[in-house]
Amino acid sequence: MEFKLDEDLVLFAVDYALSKGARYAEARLQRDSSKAFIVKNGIPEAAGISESIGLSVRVLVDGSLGFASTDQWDNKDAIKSVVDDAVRLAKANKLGDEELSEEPTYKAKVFIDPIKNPDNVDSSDKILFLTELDKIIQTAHKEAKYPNRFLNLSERLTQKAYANSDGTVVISSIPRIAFFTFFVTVASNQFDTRYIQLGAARGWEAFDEWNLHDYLKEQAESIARVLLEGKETPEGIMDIILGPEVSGLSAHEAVGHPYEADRIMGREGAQAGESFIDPDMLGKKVGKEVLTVMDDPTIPNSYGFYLYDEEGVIARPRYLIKEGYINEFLHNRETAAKSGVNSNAAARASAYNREPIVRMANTYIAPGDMKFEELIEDIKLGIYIKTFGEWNIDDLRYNMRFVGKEAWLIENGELKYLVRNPILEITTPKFYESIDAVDNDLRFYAATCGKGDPGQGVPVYVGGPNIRLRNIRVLKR
Amino acid sequence: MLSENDLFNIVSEVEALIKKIGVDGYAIAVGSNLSRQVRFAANKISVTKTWDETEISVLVEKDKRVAAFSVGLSSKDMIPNMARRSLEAIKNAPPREDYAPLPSPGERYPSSPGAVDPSLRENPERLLDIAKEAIDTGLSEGAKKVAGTIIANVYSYVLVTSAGFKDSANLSNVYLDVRAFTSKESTGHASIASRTLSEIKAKEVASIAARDAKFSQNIKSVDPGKYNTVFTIDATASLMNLVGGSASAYAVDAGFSFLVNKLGSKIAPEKLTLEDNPLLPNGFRIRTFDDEGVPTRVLNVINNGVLENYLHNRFTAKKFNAEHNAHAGWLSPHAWELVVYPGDASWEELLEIINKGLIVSNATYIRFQNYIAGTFSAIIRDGVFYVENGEIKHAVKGLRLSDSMPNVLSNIMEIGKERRQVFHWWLESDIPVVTPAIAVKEVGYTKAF
Repeated sequence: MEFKLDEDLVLFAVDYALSKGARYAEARLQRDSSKAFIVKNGIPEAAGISESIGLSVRVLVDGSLGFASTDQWDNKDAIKSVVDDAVRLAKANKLGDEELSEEPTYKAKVFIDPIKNPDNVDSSDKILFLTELDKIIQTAHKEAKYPNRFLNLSERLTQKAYANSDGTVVISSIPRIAFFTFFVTVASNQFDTRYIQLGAARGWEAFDEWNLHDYLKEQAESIARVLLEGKETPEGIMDIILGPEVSGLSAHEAVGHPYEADRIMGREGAQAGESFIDPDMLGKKVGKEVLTVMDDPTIPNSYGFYLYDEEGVIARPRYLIKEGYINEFLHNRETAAKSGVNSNAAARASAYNREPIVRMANTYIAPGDMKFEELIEDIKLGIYIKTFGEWNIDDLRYNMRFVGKEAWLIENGELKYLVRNPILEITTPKFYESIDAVDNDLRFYAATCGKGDPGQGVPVYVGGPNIRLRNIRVLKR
Repeated sequence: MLSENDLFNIVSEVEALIKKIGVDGYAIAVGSNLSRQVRFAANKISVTKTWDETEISVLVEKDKRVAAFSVGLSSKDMIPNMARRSLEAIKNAPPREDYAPLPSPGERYPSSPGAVDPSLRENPERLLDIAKEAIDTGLSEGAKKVAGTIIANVYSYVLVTSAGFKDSANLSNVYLDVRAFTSKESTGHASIASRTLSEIKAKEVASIAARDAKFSQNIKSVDPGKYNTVFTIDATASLMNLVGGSASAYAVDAGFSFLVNKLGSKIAPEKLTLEDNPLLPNGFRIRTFDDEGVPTRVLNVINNGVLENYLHNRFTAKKFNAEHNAHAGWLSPHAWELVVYPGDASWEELLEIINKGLIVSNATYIRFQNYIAGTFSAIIRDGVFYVENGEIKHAVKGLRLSDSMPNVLSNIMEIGKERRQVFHWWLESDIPVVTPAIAVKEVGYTKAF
């Protein structure tokens, strides 16, 4: 059967699940068509094409959730078989008390048409493009060598037909394009590594905006300069400026994740972990008035873009922290029901065969009015961490660390010289209460957020402006 | 899930289609799996899941250029078109300098040391019973909350290559992962992985997790700095995953590896030998041939402290001028299952050896600052304990492991004698590991401000 982007099969699955005793059922038919091109150390390697099509169902039976999927999406017997399995295992649980929140129903279509369809760009040109970029990295700095270089260009079209037993039907088609590179830099007999990821929900036109030729040269040069010119990082208490790449990651890791209601309620306890945030912290002051952190799936062409989530709930911008106060958590219908609120459309699944769980989309610190120069003008001694390498945060999202790649010493309001591997290791409450200013330079960076078991990597943006933190301890690596 | 016969029929059908396209070489793999999972959290079952999937993967070659594509079973009709598109994608690329043809089949193949456990396919309700047993045991042993996963996989795989290889592999595996809580910051974790369901001992696993969660109640801060450390079996498995991932010649070539330029060098004390073994009788990832049809074998990665082998497929073997050692994955070489040779030390002796230091039970969220130098940090959790005079004094909070892999390996003091197979979702390189605990001197730790 040829793939048709309509509701016939998902409605069949939903109806069959109801006939087998499900109180609620939803089904998702999803096709991911993707292409990838790799150039390693200047040599084009295998090109890859993938067609992943399948249908999943999720049922609520006697208070228990069952999920099942099949790649035999065009075979109604196979669909019946996985529905039977989902119902069978959910029924066997016998201990369930799950509910889903009541939500409005929709009949909607979401189609994003690329301006330049990647299918219309010759594959040879894509490989040539990557080899050009490889050359730019390889020759970025005359006093450095770049012996190892890995470049990956990927494109994906995700088409979904979704239906649930409440009556919602959503049909969508969203293209995504992504670029990733990793390279090793050697200078002054020392070496360092750096990776860069870009992505957007759009077509080939994204490359026109990204201007990768200049961007990669700048990035590869900066690592060489750190190796050639970088001085030891001074340790101690000082002011810190974090660039948008780092402030964006902090928004994702230290606000987005701990504000996921499934973590707060313990559903990810065995895997990604729980959260230092308790439900009764809603409304608590955690930062100064300049601090607003948002998660917004509706940003046009963003990497984490969607207008309806995987439970058929309409998306909207979420204010996680509003002017310094905890404003809302990220909910799907399962956590919303437990909290007595409505879902704010945070249910996402990375593929047809993955359960929808609470996820971020595009998480960012909102910008202010200041200019960068104003942020640093009164800093006597400080560090500006522009880009990062290593980072992690504990499973309660309380204890985080970022290690700078390109970082500068600030002295008397000026960037003085490059410093090596400054470490910011700080608790989340201390981090956010220390932010006293943000500038107007909001930038977004693509990332793949991992969560769930089996793992689900979903495309997201992390973003922010330059932000200033006062009186922070800096360590060196 | 399809039968092995069905898979052979599909492979033959696809092979006929690919031959008509006109390629120099091809490999076709069809894998079919039936997997079931029960997840539990906050003392109850959160969700049950079932996957029934069959994927067809094809690799085509023309004039020393290589392309790959994959489709689900229902998209089989798209294969000729995808093959043409794949060839079109690479037609103007330069020939691969590291090209080597698909290897001829080996003369002898090892026999598979393990059969599929049919109970994993036929009795999924048993997974619910095990999950409930883990919850009940954890609570009865003093935990306030229990969470975890049990997942069971049954998998059949058929590979055919234009070099004349054709064979099948059948595999089953299952793992249970349990995390127990006595408070948000006082947790314990344990896991078990096996080929068969009968080996999954829910009570034992949940008891260990609950025991460590209880021990973690007396939790204190200690200063950051260097501590002699015993890494438990689970924590050692995480570290060995980094070694296995970095030993892939592909990672070495791309610079993702702290083992670049280390082949033949002593990177650890003589007591450390690490092999890759896809032929373990109870192995989690048994395979008798790799994805290029080469017969698998046991291979030393680290032999008496010396890095003896990178893991190769045909391309990396050509580039590194090395022997193909049967580690081909579909596109890049990888480890099958890592095995650390046991030492002589009991658990108590490991604690005596470090005398004063830390026990680290789980190392997760490992991130490198510099892949070549191997500098990294990791979140440590689920039982971090301070030891003095070989005895556990209290649990420790707030520390972060911050060191380099070359340091950790070269500072191994002793290796335990008791081993267990570990596989769970958080392993960084997805490689099952059979390992004992290890004692390492002067490991670096930092702390948040």
